[in-house]
Amino acid sequence: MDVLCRRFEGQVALITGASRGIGPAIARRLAAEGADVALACNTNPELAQAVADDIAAMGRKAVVLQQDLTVVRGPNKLLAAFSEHFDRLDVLVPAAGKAEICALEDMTEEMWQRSFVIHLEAVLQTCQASHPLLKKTGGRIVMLSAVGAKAAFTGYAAVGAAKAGLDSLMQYMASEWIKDGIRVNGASLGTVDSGILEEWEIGPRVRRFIENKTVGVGIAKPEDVAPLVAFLAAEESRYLVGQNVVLDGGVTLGIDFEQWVRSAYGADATFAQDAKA
Amino acid sequence: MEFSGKVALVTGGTRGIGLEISRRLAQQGADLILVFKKDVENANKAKAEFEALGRRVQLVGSDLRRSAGVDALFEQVASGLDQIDILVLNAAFGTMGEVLRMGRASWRASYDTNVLSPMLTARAALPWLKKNGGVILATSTLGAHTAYPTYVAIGSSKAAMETMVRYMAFEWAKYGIRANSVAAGPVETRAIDWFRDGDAVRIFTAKKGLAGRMGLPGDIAEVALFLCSDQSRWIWGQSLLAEGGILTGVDYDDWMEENVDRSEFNPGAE
Repeated sequence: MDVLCRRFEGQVALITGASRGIGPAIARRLAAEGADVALACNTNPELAQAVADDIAAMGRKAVVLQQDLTVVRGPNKLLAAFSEHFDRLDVLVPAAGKAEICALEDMTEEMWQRSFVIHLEAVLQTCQASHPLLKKTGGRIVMLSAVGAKAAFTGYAAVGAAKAGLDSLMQYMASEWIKDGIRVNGASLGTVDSGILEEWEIGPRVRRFIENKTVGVGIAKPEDVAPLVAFLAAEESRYLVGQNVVLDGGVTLGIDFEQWVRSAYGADATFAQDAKA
Repeated sequence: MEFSGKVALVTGGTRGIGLEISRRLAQQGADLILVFKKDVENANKAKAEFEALGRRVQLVGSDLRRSAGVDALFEQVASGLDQIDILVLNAAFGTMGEVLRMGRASWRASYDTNVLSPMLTARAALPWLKKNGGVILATSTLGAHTAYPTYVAIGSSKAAMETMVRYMAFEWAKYGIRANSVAAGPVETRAIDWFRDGDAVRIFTAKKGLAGRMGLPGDIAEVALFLCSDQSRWIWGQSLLAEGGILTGVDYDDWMEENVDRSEFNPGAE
């Protein structure tokens, strides 16, 4: 997809979780529209560096910042490192996350807390640490949430609940920081083909389910998320405050009785007797 | 009576909304396990009141923010009433403050009490809830659905809790367990004065709300009882808003106050 608009000329974006999955696609998109980019990651800095090299080849500045955001003052250290390379911050996308699949009954306290620290606490602290810089530029924050915060998905409780906390945090942040000229919105995502499915035992079933539900569209690619994030980060969405835009290919939209029944019981199934019984 | 023969475990059941829920459950026939952290005096009062109704009441003082406290609670349940049909996750805590000033410790404290603790508690209660197809009811807040001033730690953690309760409904329906939340608008409890100006909250609720008065713990307890009862058997994994109509519209210019003759809606009123 050719990017024709250049909405971020002269601006700087900080993206966490920028080594794998959705983060790199967002970084590339913002850079393609003129932004200089800081790529924050914890593991796999060499992957983030490859993204940075691509962005540098576009003629933009790109810096990799390695930082564990889950440790005490981790986000503050990230912003301190950021400030060594850039003198302004216009767009913050806290995209770092790691979804682990587990039923509530088998959940350990450690796994539960891990999810809340990476998906929520680290995001709060990254936003807090970015606030002074964002206030100077009239900056934007784009949160990455999940439709699993609203509807229950198999084994997704620890992430879904943390993302519900994030959605609420996003509302509070948006309503409190709009007076500082900082605009906060979110993208509420369905399943994205970000590499995470390969780590889940139920990955192949999730993929099949999404492909059945989104006939002819398929599972979302990170490149499908990036344009929405860019829009929410751009001046043209200036009147959008504290909103979550659902991007899920229609998976949580509506109920298709027949499609569900046929995918569960086969294309030729008839239910006249069962349904009455 | 609706809840005869049933046992309800209520966390934070010795004051505020939790006490009103416990009271109504007792009045409707339920035996009670009341869990409190430090509030011994009110716990003893509630015990005496409910026992006078002929109910069995077990008091357990325990700090449910740690799994050790949860383990201690359910050891006592096992050696006490040894039955749970209704689990009311009501204990709550939060630090008031704006997003920018919300430190890691305050944030964690809210999430520990409002999310982690209900998760650990509900999971530990599962063996009992499974036996007869139990009910889980969590008390939440309108602040989980819209932003209140200085309320982010509570509002956000309750939003997470509501979603967690929905996942409990989703995952534990196979055990016949039904889980829901009630999200309360401003209610006259001690927590109102945690706001910078508690009276502003009271006046707002009474003047803007369609109900025309401040909320009372009983207003929420009635909804909670409905969600605990078989009358709500078709409601699964939901959060029911009970907020006196403060969220219904945007009143730019006191239109309600100036242009609506309320006596029309309140026949007999002056």
